[in-house]
Amino acid sequence: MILAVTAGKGGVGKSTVAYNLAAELDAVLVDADLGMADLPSARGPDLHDVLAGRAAPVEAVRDVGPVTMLPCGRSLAGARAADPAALVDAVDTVAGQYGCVVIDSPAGMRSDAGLPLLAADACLLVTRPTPPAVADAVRTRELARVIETPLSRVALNRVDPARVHSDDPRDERLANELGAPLVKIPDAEIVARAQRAGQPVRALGNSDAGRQFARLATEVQRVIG
Amino acid sequence: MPTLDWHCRRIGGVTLVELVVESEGGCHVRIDSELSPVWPPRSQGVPVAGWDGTAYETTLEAGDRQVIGFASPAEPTDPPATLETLSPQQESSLTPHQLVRALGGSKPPRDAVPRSETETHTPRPAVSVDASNTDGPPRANEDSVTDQQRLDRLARRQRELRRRVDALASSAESRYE
Repeated sequence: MILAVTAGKGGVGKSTVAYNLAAELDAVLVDADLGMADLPSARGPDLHDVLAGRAAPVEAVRDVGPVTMLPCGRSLAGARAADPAALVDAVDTVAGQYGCVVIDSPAGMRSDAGLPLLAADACLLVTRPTPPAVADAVRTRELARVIETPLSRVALNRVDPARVHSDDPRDERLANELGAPLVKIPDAEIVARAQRAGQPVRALGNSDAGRQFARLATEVQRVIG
Repeated sequence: MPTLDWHCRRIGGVTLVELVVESEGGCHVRIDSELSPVWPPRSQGVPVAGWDGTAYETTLEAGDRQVIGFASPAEPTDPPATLETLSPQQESSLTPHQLVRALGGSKPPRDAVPRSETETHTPRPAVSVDASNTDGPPRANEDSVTDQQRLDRLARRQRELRRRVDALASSAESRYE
C-alpha cells in the first residue's frame, strides 16, 4: 500500500500527520518534501541520492527512532542533481520490499506535489479548519482527481479539543466539498511535545490525539486494503 | 496505414535525425529509435511530450503530417527508427515525465548552486542511528548555512544586475530627451 499525505498549503501539520500515520501503519515514511525538511533525519544516503541514481532506494531506508524512514536531502546541489520523475519507481521499489509506504508530499500544485500522488495508490489530505487552508485543500483535491489518485480520508488537523468528538455541520459540508470523510486531530500539547522529542504521539502514552491517529490509520487501511 | 520517412545528418560527432510521419487515416503510432542513446528535445528539464526513453508516441488525424527530431551520439543507421501503429488500448497512461511537463519543475535554479558543490556532491556513507541520537525536529545543519550564503550571494548578483540595467535604461532615456 502506498499512501501520499498531501496538503494544499504549508503549516497545516501535514508532516506531523504523515509521521504519526507511518508509526501507526508500521510503514516506511518517505520524506518527499524536498524543499522543506520537516521530519527527523539521520546521516547516510537520502532521497536526493536515490533520485540522482547514486544510491538504491533500499540503501536510503533506515530507522530514525521508532519510525522507518527514507529521509529527504537537505542541500541545493542535491536537489539540483535529483531527477524528481524517478520518485515513482523509487517508491514502488520500497513498497515492494517493505509492504507499506507513507509519502510526506510537498504542498502546492507543481510536479513535486503531483509526483507523489502519481506514485500512490491513494492519498490523504491534511487541512485545518480555516478558510485559506480549506481553499487550498480543494485545489489539491482537484489535482488528485486529475491524476486519478483516490482520496481516502481528510485529516482535519489542530481542531479545538472540545470539538473533536462533537457533531458540527461545517464538518459535513467540508467532507462533501472534498469528497471524503473527515477524521479530526486535536490541537493538543502532547502532539507538540512528541514532535519536539522526535517521537510519534503513541510513544508518549494514551491520549485523545493518539487515539485519533490510530483511528485515521484504521480507516485508511480499511479503504485502501 | 501511416508511413515514415527520414533524413540523418552527422555533425561534430552527433547524429541529427529528422523523421516525417504521415497518415491518410487517424491513428496512434509509436516510433522506436534504432540509435541509442537518444537525446530528445527537452522542456522544463524533461523530454518534450511524447518521448519516453528511446520511443516517441503521437496521435495523427486523417491526412496529418508530423515532423519529429532528435539527436544521438551514435552513428546513423538505415532506418534510424521504426514505426508501429498502436491500438487505442495501448495508448500510454500518465507518465512521471508528462506530469513534470504539465505542472512544471521545482528544482532550484542552476545559479544557486556553485559548480564546486555540484562536482563534489557524493552520497554520505550510512551510519547506524538509534533513538537517543536522532536529530528530532528540524534544525539548521552545515548544508543549510552554506545554502543561505549562496542564496545571499545570488541576491547580491541580482541587485548588481538590476543596478546595471537601470543605469542602461537611464542612459537610453537621456539620449531621447
